[in-house]
Amino acid sequence: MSLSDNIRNRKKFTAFDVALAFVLICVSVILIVFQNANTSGDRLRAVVKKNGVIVQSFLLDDTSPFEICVDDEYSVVLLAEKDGVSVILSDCTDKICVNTGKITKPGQTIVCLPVRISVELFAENEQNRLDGVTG
Amino acid sequence: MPELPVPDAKLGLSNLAVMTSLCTDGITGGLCTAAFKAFFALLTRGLTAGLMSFSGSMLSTFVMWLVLKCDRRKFGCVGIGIIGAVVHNIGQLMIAFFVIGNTVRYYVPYLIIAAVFAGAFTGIVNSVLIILVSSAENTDHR
Ligand SMILES: [Zn+2]
Repeated sequence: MSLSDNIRNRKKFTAFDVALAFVLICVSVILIVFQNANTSGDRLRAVVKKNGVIVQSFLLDDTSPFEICVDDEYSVVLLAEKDGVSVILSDCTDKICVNTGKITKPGQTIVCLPVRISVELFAENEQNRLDGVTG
Repeated sequence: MPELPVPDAKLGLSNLAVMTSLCTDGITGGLCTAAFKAFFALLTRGLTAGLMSFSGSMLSTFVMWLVLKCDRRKFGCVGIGIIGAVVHNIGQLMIAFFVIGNTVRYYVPYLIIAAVFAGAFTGIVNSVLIILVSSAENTDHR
């Protein structure tokens, strides 16, 4: 039987399809709730990685907003504010990082694939714990 | 929904082309279309996007083929589409994981949700296309 017949002989959708979609969406929603729930620390730390390696790490506290150039190879500029961090300038092609806007909660990330840079927010005490584990 | 750093995560149109090609031309045709799609992504959007597209669409084509062959109609056309789209997005994210590290885990649930909707859409449109194509072929033979 050809694949084309295979498709024609199948139902448009079955109970299995509905169950699959339901399970996938439930699991995803639970993950999203968990990811955005850990607001335990009152201070935020932004960790900038290039190729998965930490290149910058700074606290977002009461200082006035400041800009940081992240990379020499490409120009990527972050704007660090009291309540979050955003990419305001990037050499990348897709500008997804800039369009992501400001991230404000622990666990949220900005990713720039073409430039291979990521920015992730941590609650300060969580970061301490991570440092303790990784030495 | 945050801005997803993965090409083709939301729009499933190119996946539709791969899926239809898989159904009409078999696994070889499907994989060729997937590779061509990745090559196009490489040309227009650069190396990372090209690799991600390659990984996602090759893996997704292979898994859809496997499910079509092995599954005795438990899944409908919508289910096949959803499976293909989820595998597609996971395949893309695997490359992102190697390129920029585990930070990308944040996007996993969003990508799965996007895939469920995009996959249901491509699954249903694909089945309609296949029915149209085969009824056109039958008319030609008469
Ligand atoms: Zn970018």
